[in-house]
Amino acid sequence: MLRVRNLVASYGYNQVLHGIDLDVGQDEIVTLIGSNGAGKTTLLNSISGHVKISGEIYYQDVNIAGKSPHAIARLGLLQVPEGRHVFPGLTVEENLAVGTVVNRGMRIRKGDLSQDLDFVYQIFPRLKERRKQLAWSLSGGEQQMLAIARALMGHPKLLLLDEPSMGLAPLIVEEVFERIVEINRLGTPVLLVEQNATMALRVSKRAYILERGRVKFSGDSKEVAQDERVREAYLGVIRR
Amino acid sequence: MNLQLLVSGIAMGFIYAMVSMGMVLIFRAVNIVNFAQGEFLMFGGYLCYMFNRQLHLPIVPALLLAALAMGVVGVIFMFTSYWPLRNAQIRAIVVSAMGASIVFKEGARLIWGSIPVTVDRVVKGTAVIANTAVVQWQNIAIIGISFILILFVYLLLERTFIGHIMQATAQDRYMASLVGIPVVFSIALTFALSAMLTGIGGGLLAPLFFLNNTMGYTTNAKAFAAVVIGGFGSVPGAVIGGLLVGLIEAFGGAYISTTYQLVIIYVVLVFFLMFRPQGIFGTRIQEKA
Repeated sequence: MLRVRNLVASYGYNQVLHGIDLDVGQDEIVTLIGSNGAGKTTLLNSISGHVKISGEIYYQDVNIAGKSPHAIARLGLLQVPEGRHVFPGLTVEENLAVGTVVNRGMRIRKGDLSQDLDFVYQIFPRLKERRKQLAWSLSGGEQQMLAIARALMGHPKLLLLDEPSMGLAPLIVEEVFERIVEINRLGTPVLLVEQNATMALRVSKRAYILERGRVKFSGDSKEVAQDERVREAYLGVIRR
Repeated sequence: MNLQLLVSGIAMGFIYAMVSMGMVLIFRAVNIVNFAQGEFLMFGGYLCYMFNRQLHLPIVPALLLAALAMGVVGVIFMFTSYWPLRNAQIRAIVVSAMGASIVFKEGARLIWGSIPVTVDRVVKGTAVIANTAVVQWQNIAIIGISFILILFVYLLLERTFIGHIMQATAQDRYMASLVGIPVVFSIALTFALSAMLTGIGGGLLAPLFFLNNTMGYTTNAKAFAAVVIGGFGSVPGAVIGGLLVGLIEAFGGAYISTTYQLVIIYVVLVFFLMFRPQGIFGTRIQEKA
């Protein structure tokens, strides 16, 4: 459903992505692994329209390259950015309500959201307990869950997750990843950007390894996890 | 306690509250102190003069039309003075707003001349309160109308969904675009609201003090003081700060010196900066690592 072809992105004179090809199919979790500065976030920001690019990005056979970020979001490609970006001065429930702008539009009254809220509270029960709290006062893990839940409120057709494990305790990381798998099982394809390669390879179907703006390696996640170079560089396994 | 001074101080306070609240709305939306906010007051007053005295409409419809026109002015201001520079350094935008304030000032002079003008009162005459104080009805009208407008804007921001969308855009523009908010529309709406609120104040103020095209300058200085005293970025703070500035000005002017009204306000401002720099309300939101 998403096809990226020969994507080139630069910041000023610095070229960051040098011709990326990438696919995300219906129902799969695809992960993108790479070290700092490999261009993972730039790739996501290119898909969501925040970076000037050349090349093609087809979403359901329509080229979305060059469209504005909110227009791309309205097609159902919802990005949960690195660092969570909850709206700090709004409550949990207000944050979730704002997530419905993408499919229901701007409006004076928010209308009946109980169905959508029930759905996300079922996946993230912790958010229901906190629903009147201002978002800045949540813990890091709760903020991450809120950020994902807010995207779910917009009925995403493709979820772009950027480093959902960043800055979280290992137990919380486990929980967040369980939820991601659950969301995927309910029918949403996910493009997952991660530095935590072990976790990402475990939950995903296919993987791309990004190095200095190029796809170095791609394939089935299980095979990628067995690859010597990947094990050494990203999984911390030392070759003897 | 001098009741007469109290009433006129509160009335002026509400006018400043409308300016400083407008300033805070824009500050929260785009992180820029709008040094052309006082010009919105002046320009709104002149627009009201145009509808009321030049086109001979009754004052209430004139105020409403002036407010609507100020909404358009606010959007034009946003697209000319802020939007092209949105990715530039903050000081570039501050200077651009100062430039815009000159355009407003000289524009008003070109259109309406430099002779001070006035508009009709919403309510004519005076009232006698508690057998001692003679109060102009216009002051009472200012207090009532401003209070309702301020409350309306506050509730719009805090209790309606569109208000939450505007807040979300103000708090994190990048994220707002990712959830599908047309950021430029949301920001334009904030500028329109800010200009309307402040502009209507000009029409209310005009019968008490004549309008002139240079009044925006001191208004800016007072509104800025009100914003700092109230707590930067806080909407209730801006209102309380505005009221305080109005009262300080009224009583300071009567008991100390009218020449040094602005100095007295700034002395209070300096005291706040020394002993409570976060202002009366401080900030509500903290950034968590």
